[in-house]
Amino acid sequence: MLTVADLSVHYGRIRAVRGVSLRVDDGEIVGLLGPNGAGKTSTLAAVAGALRPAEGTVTFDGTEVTGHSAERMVRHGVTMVPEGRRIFATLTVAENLSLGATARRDRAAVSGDVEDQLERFPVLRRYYRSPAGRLSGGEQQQLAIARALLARPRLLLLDEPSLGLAPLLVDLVFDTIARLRAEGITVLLVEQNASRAVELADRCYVLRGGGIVAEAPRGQLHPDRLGALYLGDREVL
Amino acid sequence: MTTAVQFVLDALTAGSFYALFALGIALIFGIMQLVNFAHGELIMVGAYVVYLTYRWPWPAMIAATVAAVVLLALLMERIAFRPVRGANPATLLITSFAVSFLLQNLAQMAFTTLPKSADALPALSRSITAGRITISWLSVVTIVTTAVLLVALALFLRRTRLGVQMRAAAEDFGMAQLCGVRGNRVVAAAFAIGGVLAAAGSVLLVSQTGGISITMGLAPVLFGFTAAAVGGLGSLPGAVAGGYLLGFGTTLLQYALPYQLAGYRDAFLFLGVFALMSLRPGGLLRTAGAEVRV
Amino acid sequence: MRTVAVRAGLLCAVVVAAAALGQAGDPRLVRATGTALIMLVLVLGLNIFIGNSGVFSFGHLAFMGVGAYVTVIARLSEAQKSFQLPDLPGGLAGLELSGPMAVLVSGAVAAACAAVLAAPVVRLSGLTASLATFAILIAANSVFENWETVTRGSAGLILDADPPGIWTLVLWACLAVVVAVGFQRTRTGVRLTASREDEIAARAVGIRVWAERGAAFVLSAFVVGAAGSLFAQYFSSLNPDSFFLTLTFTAIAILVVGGLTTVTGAVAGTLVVSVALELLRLVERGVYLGGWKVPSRSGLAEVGLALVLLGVLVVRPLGITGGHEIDRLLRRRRPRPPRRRTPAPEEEHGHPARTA
Repeated sequence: MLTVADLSVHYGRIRAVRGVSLRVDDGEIVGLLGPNGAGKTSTLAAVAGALRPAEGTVTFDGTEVTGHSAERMVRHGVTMVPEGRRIFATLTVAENLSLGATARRDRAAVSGDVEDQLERFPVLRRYYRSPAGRLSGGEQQQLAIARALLARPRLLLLDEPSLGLAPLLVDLVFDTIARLRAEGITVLLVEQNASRAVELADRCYVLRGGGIVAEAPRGQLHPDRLGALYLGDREVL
Repeated sequence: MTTAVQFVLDALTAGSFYALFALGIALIFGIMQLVNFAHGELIMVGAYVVYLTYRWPWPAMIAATVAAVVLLALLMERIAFRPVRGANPATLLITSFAVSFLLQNLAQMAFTTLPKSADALPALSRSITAGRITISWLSVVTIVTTAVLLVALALFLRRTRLGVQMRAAAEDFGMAQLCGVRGNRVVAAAFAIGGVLAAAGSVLLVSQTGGISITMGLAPVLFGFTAAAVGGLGSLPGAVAGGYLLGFGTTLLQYALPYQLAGYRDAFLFLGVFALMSLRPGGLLRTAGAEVRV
Repeated sequence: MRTVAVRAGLLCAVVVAAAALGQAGDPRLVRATGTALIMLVLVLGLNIFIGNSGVFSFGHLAFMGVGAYVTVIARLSEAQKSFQLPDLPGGLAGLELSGPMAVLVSGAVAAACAAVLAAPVVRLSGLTASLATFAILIAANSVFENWETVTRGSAGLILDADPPGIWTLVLWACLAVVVAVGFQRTRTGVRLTASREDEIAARAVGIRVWAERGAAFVLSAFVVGAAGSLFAQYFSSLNPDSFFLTLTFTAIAILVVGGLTTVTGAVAGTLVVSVALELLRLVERGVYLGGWKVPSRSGLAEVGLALVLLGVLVVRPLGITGGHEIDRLLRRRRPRPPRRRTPAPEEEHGHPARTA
């Protein structure tokens, strides 16, 4: 579904991503792991259209989408939940959700989808008319995911969804992601919480210093191996 | 007693003008972090359109003014501001300054520096007298028009999809784009609305003063931006409140300043603004925002 | 120390050369050269504060006005003084200074005014600072217009003293260059530049940003006030509008076109913009282009300047000099050592190219 080839992202003279290639197949959950500063967020942002890559190509469903803006990517079916949730605090939960559906052509189905998300995340129903800034961190994360899902994405990009959340909520988040796979949504997931990500994902890539240093299916990334990769070992790919 | 009522009416009228101008500036600032000095030139151009069309039936005159000003606002956004979107605040400020300067001098080439006069909406210069209070129809129309526009804007922002998108974009432009909001459309809409507000302001202004000159945009933009800053730049309710506060402030100064000091009204006002910016950079009405502590 | 000497020397050489060319032409050109030299002093003054601190002050022309008015009062002949300013308070009425002294005293008075205002201003940053300084400009303009006993209000004043010659102006301009370059390299200047690049980091290492800014603010007001004095002496007439938005805009345009942060930018910008303005004014007055008369339109020069400024802002915001000083620009020919490869840290606050 998604193919990234030789992606490079530069911030001025800093090369955050250097020649990254990866792919995500239909219905998979793919994890993007790595230490801080490895280039995971930049890679995701480039796919989502929030950044323009300096080099490389991004192909989605056979169409080349390199450098397409975020607005366009949403309409292609790629939605991102960025790091830190970034819900609109001064807008109500209802308005936040409706914004997720901005790009939808089938307006009639939207309210049904809103209902589905409220079923999935009951706390949102309770605060439906309140300003989103009133929600706790975990609740905001649920709102952010619900908002992204309202765009009916084919590919969902998640940047550190469990960051800063209490363990119980981390469970909720990962359960939700697993259920998304069951519903047929493909997920590309950036995570610091490597152990949970490794359990959940079908495949994982490990980034370090802007490049991919390992790729492995589920069950083959043990904690020691992961630790070594984070800290400096290089694997022959 | 009558002085009090007269004072309130004068203050409300002045406040309505300032609120209109302030809102136009706050709207753009909220979305783009740009203090648009050229907003004054929108008002100036509107006034010149009134000058050119004041003999037409008034609905046509108003329609022409709104159309011309909105068109100019959209052109301004597309040509001058879109290329520098996202640049640092100083660059944005200078860009708007440059556009303002450009338009003023273009107007000078077209109309020369000689002021013009136009008797727009003469019906409004009549007054109503109730007891010892005299209200001009113009004051009434100004206050009512402003109130109507404010309500309309509030409804637009709360009840329409584009309005919600605009509020989202003002809070977090990048995230709005990640939701699929078309950034260009939202910014253009904000400029268009600013244009409508400027056009309304210019029609009312010309009706009130009868005079049109190429530098007439300066005072409105200064007062408008001051009002918006008082209310906390970027906050729309703040801009409105700031406008009325400023209206009361300037009217008070006008009533209270002894004759010899009357000319210094602007000096007092802007020294006050200076003091305000120094003490409460976030605006009078905002609670002290997150100050970066090092 | 060597850098100061080299840099100031190079820039002064440029100034002297340009002035030599200019003053050899017809009277209009000579006048334009004089104007450019005064603009240069003004822009250098602005550069001292804006260029080094990164804080955009729109209010500095208030200090120029102060300097100008002080000079006029100090240089008017007795007869003219009692005619134009009959109600001048005693102390000021008796004030009499030579040309050069007037420049220095005007600068000092302007600096004193700045010192009073500095305390609140320097603690502000970014937009708020710009807006606050803009308020100063408006307030000052209102005072100039209304304090008729001292300024004669909007009627303005006419100075009947002999204007300085071109080479006197060149001397003052070179002095200003030396001050600007010198300040850049003082400890205050260097710390200030650090705060410009990253205010938070600078404060974190203990730089008292506001103190550094205050020093720059006062020094720049001195230079700007001196420019005002030269303005008054050279043009021999002024009114409150002389130190308001038009001149502010021209000065800012020069700074941006030349390159905000460098003294070289100030010099280059003044040169380029002065030449451009002169050419545009020629066109403005009606010029024969191969037999076809371009109609004259007042305001064309300003339109041209505004368009140039907009162009620069969009295409090359760092200005002609791109943020480099003249000694660096000349040295660029030498080959650079190869860059080492180090792993890239994840940059959270960088500015990658954004998709539209």
